[in-house]
Amino acid sequence: MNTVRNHSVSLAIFVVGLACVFLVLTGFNNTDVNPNTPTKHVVTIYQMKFNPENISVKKGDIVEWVNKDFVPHDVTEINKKWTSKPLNEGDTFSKVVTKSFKYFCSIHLVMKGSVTVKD
Amino acid sequence: MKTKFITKTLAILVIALFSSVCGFAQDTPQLTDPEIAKVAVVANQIDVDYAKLAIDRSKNPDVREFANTMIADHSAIIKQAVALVTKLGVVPQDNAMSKSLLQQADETTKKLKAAKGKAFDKAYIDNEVAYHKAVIGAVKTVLIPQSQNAELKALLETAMPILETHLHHAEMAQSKILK
Repeated sequence: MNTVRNHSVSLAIFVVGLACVFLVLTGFNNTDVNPNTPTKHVVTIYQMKFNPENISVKKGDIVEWVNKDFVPHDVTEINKKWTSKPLNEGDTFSKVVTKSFKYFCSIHLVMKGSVTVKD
Repeated sequence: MKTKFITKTLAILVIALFSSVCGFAQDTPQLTDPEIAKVAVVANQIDVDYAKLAIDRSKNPDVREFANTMIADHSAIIKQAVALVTKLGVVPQDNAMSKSLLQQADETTKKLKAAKGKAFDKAYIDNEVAYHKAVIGAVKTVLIPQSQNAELKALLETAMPILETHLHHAEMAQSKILK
């Protein structure tokens, strides 16, 4: 009888100890947002416009463009240093931002936007 | 004397305005939804055909780039229109407006085919500016107001910013070609 009770107490201590180790390793609170975690910003392409046309982000943030028009668009750096592939309806293109840039749609030259890195 | 002159002038203005309104009402075609669908498909197909001619004839990269955009976008609009009429079980119907568009396109195509080199580029882009202005006007004042089906009206409204973007793009190409 005593043996069974001792085993139960040992098991309880083991479980509590394991939980403590887990909490210590995870910093007690894993819902905190790491300030260095990049933020994702979404630019919607709709009715022949980038929306928002101009956005400010932190260095390392991610910008995702989503084409919601039924005509194809792309995202091309203003000096054509890089470009996405043509994006059909529902397609997305993401980029980690390291510096400010202006861009346009090389299929519809009048569509323009900018991403500015703020301090 | 002065009052009589003002009254006479006002009367002439009222008569002139009334006549122009009546004239406009008579000139504006009244279209059913199947006829509107036909006009929409024909108008887009005409521009696809102009663009194919431009790809065939022009060596100017700006003209070719613009023409490729016209093929992609107007084909996409046609695809949407066909999907909608299929869903609604509507058969697009020929009408005076669609026939007039085709007749004018036939004449324009003959003129474009007669032009070569830079003359072709200029003629094509000039026509694109004029054609998009005319189509935007027709969609705004005839097709959208007369559409009865909400989905057809919504599709035409969605096409408006595409057409307006094309017009700005064509005007950009036009000013580049004139340099």
